[in-house]
Amino acid sequence: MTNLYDSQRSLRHKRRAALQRGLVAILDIGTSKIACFIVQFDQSVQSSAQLGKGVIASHGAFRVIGVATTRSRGVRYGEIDAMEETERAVRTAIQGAQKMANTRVDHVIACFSGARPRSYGVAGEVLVENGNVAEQDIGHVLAACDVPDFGAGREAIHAMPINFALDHRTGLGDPRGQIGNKLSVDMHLLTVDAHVLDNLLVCIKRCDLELAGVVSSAYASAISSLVEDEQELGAACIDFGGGSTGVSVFFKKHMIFADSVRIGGDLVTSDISQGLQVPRDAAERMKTVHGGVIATGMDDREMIDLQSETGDWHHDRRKISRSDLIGIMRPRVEEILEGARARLDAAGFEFLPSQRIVLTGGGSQIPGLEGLASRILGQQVRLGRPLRIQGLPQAATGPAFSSAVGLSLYAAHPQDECWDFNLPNERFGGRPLRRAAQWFRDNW
Amino acid sequence: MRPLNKGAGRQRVRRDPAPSRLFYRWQRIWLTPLYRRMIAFGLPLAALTAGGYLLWSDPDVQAQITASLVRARESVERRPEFQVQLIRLQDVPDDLAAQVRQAAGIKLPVSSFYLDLDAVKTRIEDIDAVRQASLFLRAGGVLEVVIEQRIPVVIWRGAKQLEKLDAEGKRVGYVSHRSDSPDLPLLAGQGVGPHIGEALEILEAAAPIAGRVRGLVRVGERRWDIVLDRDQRVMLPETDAVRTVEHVMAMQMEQDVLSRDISVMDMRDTRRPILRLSEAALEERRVKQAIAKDVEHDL
Repeated sequence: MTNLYDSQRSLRHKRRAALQRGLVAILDIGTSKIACFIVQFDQSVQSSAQLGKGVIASHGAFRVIGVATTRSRGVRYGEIDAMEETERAVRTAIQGAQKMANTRVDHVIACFSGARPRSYGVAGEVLVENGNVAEQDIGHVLAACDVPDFGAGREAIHAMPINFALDHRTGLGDPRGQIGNKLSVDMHLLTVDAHVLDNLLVCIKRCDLELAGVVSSAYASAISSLVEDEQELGAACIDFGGGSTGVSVFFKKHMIFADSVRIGGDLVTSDISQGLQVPRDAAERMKTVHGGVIATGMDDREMIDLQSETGDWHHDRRKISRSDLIGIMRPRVEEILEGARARLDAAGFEFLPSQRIVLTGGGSQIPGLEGLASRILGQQVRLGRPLRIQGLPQAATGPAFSSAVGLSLYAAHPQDECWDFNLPNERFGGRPLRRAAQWFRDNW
Repeated sequence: MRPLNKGAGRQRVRRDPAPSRLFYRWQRIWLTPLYRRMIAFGLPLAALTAGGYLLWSDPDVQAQITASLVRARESVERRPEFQVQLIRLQDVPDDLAAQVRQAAGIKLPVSSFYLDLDAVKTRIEDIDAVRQASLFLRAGGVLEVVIEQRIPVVIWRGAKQLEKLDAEGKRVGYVSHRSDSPDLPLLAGQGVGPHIGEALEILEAAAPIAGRVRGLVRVGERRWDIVLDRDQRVMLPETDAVRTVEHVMAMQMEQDVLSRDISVMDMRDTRRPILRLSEAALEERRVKQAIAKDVEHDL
């Protein structure tokens, strides 16, 4: 954990530097598209970053000045599969956004959906040193959490304290300054495959950029598409992506669970392509133009031309009804939703006071998905679109951009994480000399 | 028939367009304000400077530039608007005018750019008879010279010639004979120049005997003698010469001193005027004394 703590802290420092400079690139590396926003921060955010209190930064204090999207290549299941291709795609996106913003960016905050995220709820308990809870006590209690053995080759990308309890009072958001004896914390730890993170780091570095933060896209899209009371009362956000479907559960304004289903819209496309013997491009087009999940009588009469260019006259001039297309798409969408259902069940979603489910991501635009989802996931289902943020062009306001928008919000208003607090000395090795040097650098 | 090499070799994957890494880096550099300013302004400026320097350092080019500058300057200077065609002198006697024209040394027509008016002015003012000259360039190519002449107030007998002097003691001209300008008083002796005013005052004070005054002589460059006819001379002191003259005039009025047979009236010590008898008077006096002695002796 020490190593991870340091690396995450260095990401934090870079993020702070980016905020001071006032420009950061938001990169959503998805399976079907790569979106890049260039976000310009207000003076208020920059000054608060200077003071080291990114926590209290305001929401509206930034503006998107450059947007570019490009078709993703080299990404499968939300993970970088072909480095060279992904790098080219990232370059395309970054360059387009830079051109629109007419400036260059050096810092990137990235999100991705794959890498098999796994949530752990961990708890720690510690005795308060001086009667009232100080900053270092929080560090102590976070360090005291019994971290589960999440296995080699896994790394934590989020470690968020979600609940503090002081003696017998629980549900404290901020225990600092309060009086008590025993401080305990519940922390949500999200781990991902380490090699995916490493690949991402290398890919960003190959584009001459610096990574200033990594976020799980399930978390990012939930930030932008869940409204405040949903985050407070308990809600799940299901992000239908191209390669994987992210599931995240929010309660009391904290993410308490995140997972992903490794099936996405691309699989639906390939089902259509295989089932109807059409090229992938044509299948994708049919899915987006004529697709649906609930068939009606009208759909039996609506005929769709199948476009293919094999040269076989009979093969190239087939027609199917829309019902046929829905018949292909529906089982796969159901499978995705059932996967999400299973994840939510595993997380104990049914015990939350409110069980609102928000569907977002590019896949949520399938007509009739809402009805299908409510059969599988429960009654309180709605389609979520990302929050409106300043300067975002109309083309980038759809649900497909919810994780990029959420990432912008996250960049301006990040959640406190474990590495924002100074862990006590003994946990990451006694390095008094380096500590002293650090102290001098901080204070002089 | 299909080309044979279609499937051969590496199969080309159709790739989406993406900027090459070089172009990507170049664009990032281009979007950096510092580099951008350097490339957009600095490089052209440096190139221009270097080119300009190279061109300038070539002596041929330098000579050409100088020549063309000179040509341009001359073409302006030679324009008829700037040519001086005429020197106009007003209220000046002809001989002086000729003198001035000669002294000015201007060969007409001449461009006003080449005219050094200050030098011309000093040359004109070097003429004796000119006290001050003012030069004006008038429209129509006229150089107007306004001359203030020196006014002669005395004649000074120098070592060789008679000279007319003005009140400042500056020479106005030469006089061949005293009778050429009988109205001017005559001075003589060295170092007259700065004391002409005093001389004039003395002469004014001596107005009652003006008919008898031949002139004034500066003695030893420090004091004046009034020379009268009948070889009479009034020696004046170094200071208060005018008052002494008034004193002498008073004595003349009362006692008619100067009409008597004296040769010198020495007023150098004003408290004690000394009269020197003329030779004849002295002789007569001696004779009279001898007679008186004889008479006494006879008695």
